[in-house]
Amino acid sequence: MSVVDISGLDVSFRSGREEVHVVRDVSLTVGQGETFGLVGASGSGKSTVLRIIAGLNLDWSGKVSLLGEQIAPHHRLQGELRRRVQMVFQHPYGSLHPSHSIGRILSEPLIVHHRPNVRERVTEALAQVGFGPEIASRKPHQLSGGQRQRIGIARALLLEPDLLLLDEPTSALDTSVQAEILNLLTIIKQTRPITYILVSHDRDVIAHMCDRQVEMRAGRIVSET
Amino acid sequence: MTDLVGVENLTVGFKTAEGGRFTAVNGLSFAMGAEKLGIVGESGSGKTMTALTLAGLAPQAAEITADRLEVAGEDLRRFKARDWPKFRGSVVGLIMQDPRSALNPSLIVGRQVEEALRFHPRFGRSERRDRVLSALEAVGLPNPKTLAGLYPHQLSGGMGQRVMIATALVNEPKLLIADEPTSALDEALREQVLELLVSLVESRGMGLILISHDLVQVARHCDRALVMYRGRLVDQGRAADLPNSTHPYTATLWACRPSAATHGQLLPTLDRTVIEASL
Repeated sequence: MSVVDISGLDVSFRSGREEVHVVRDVSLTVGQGETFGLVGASGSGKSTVLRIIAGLNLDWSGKVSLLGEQIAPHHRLQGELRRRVQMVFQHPYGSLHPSHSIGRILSEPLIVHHRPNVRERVTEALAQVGFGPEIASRKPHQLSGGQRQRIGIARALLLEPDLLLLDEPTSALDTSVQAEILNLLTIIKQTRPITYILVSHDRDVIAHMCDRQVEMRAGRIVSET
Repeated sequence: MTDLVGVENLTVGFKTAEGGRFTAVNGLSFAMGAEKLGIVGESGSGKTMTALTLAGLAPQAAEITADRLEVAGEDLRRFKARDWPKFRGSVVGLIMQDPRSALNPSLIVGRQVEEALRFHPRFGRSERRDRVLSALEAVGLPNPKTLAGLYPHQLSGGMGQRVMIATALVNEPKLLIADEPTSALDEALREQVLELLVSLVESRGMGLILISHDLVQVARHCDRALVMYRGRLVDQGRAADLPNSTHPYTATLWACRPSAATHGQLLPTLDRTVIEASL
């Protein structure tokens, strides 16, 4: 069974009198357990495709099914998909609440989904990304960029998703820190059944991580390897 | 021997809110002539603060000490606030990372490039205009006359970066400091802009300090390289020899880059305790 099945995906919006077509007739399939890469320059439409899969971009047309469920445009993800699909963002600072402690940031998804043993699960999640429990009392601004990104990954993994969406997860980081994050993602994949979709402008990162990749240019898929 | 840049025991520190002290640059010494010098290191290693200090642009709160701090024979330690504007532009040109934030959004390109010349009233208006147009042409921008009338938001990232290079070079400085000049650009543009920068520097006999986190870029385009870690100079040598460095920090920075060849493997990571111990 495929985890993601997209056909004929189109996205356009109106800017003044012009119609801007950002995704044109994109079709792709991602299989169970794959690491799938979307590569392209800025403005190629790769992040838009990812945001549609995450249910963050609602204005599209075509056919999209996630984990066997057909999703509809203009509707947010429903039910179990909200747990089973998680995302890690490019700028961890912008995606972590600046005045909440790390512990609170990580507890929130568990509370929202009515999970028991919140404290133990947060400690486990922190350990998985290489932190001790003491970091839970810190605020995001007290962490380095790489540490924040590890928190972003911990948060995404807390609900045990089947599909993890990674939007330029290491573009804001030093190469040395990038290596630590990519290793973490590789190790996580060895310990549980999970599918990754990785978006990056960096061909080397995609080549290192991905089993299969498509390249996008001006909204279209131009090559597949 | 007269060095273009001579730095001995440069330390740049800040007082922290908790009453402590943060040392951004710690006892840095180096000298360079009209050559291409790369400074590499992770973020927070002090490479940008070194560049800003040489251009007199370190934050006001910075406490700067040095046994020697000279550019083109001028002792920067004696500079008063009014000495810097004359020095910048004519002796040192600076190119920053992001053209979108370094260019004035409300000024047309022509005025912006010309501004550097107006500060140094050697030329009349028509000569200034000629120099602006030839500077825009030298950085490979098409139709300099039309372009000079555009605002920064009408330019692409690559064009914006070329305008910045033109602005930095229009006054023919002796030293060009480029701080991550291509990091904000798409991959395909990076090499182009860097090759342009290097050829302009070479043809004018200038010195270049290229600050970059990209070791491959420095190895390819520079003569020599300094490697910084937490404010200290930990390794240096010929830029082309960066891949063969035996220093654990440099060697890991080089080896930790992902590629198709590393697919499915774990990448080497920095063992910071080993590096700290070697300082």
